[in-house]
Amino acid sequence: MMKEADADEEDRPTLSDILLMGENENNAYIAFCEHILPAVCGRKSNESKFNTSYLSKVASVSDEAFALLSIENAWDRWVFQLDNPDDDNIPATKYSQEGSQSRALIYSGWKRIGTERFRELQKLVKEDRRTDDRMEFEKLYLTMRQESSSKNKRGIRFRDTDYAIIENDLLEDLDGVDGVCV
Amino acid sequence: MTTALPTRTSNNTVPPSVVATTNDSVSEMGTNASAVYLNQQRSNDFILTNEQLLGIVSKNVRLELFHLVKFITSPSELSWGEPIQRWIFKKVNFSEDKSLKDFWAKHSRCVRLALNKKRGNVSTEVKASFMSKSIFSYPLTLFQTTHYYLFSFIYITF
Repeated sequence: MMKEADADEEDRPTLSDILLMGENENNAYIAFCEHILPAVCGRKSNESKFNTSYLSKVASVSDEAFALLSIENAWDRWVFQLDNPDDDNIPATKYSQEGSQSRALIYSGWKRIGTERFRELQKLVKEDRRTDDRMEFEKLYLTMRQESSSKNKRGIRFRDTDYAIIENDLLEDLDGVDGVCV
Repeated sequence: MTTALPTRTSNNTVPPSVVATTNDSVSEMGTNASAVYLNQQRSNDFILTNEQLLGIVSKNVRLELFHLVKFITSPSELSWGEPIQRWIFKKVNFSEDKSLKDFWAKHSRCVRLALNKKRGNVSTEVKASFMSKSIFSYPLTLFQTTHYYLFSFIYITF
């Protein structure tokens, strides 16, 4: 049982894998783009755009950097909460202030180090978007989205054998109209 | 997409085209006084109140500005003539006259508040996505891709 749990943890994408971005170490960035990034870009409004355009056309640099900042900020806390749902000794977040301290209000709930890290992440995302790894990753991700989307569409497509004939009263009604006309 | 919005700056005059598109016929009104009253009513319909202007600005902040700007850390970023003010005025097609300068001086703080609120909502959404464990169960979803089938086939065979 313990082994299984360890194995599960090994399979998890790590934060450092995600921060490698376009290198997509252990499919971590696919997981990030699939589950975290849409929460920032707008899940409903951009769902279809992810299937038709490259990631960098749908998500702005700022969106991507903020999504990375958000998970980096609370990674330890959220992983702890997932692993220990009943434990109250929750670790603190890295960059955001908790409570209503005056320092928290100055930087809108974030520590100064948090906004500085955001600026740094924006630079890293911009640089990453220029690399070959990233180009490859974006192509792979788009292909994957399109495959997955076409599979879903195929599921609801009518097949020849699926047609069911349901009788309706149209013909009788038409006959009636003809009768009146005649 | 930008939408032209008449604002308080329009000096309470209604463009002829606006009146022409309404369905009521002024000539059917009994007296001239009624016609004048009706025209005034119509022109008032096209003047936006400060609350409506704020609503439009907030909506643009939430839906569009947020994707370009995540933090406003200094009040000077909201000063008249700074990129945020110019972007918002261009987006909602406000003219840059004195009354809107006053409006901005009075209400620019709302941009920061709207952005903070949006950022809070997005953070909550990110947390919900993370806590749903979907990010950790991702390798399972690879079962759906042909790449994974190919990989599995090679792995099992060798």
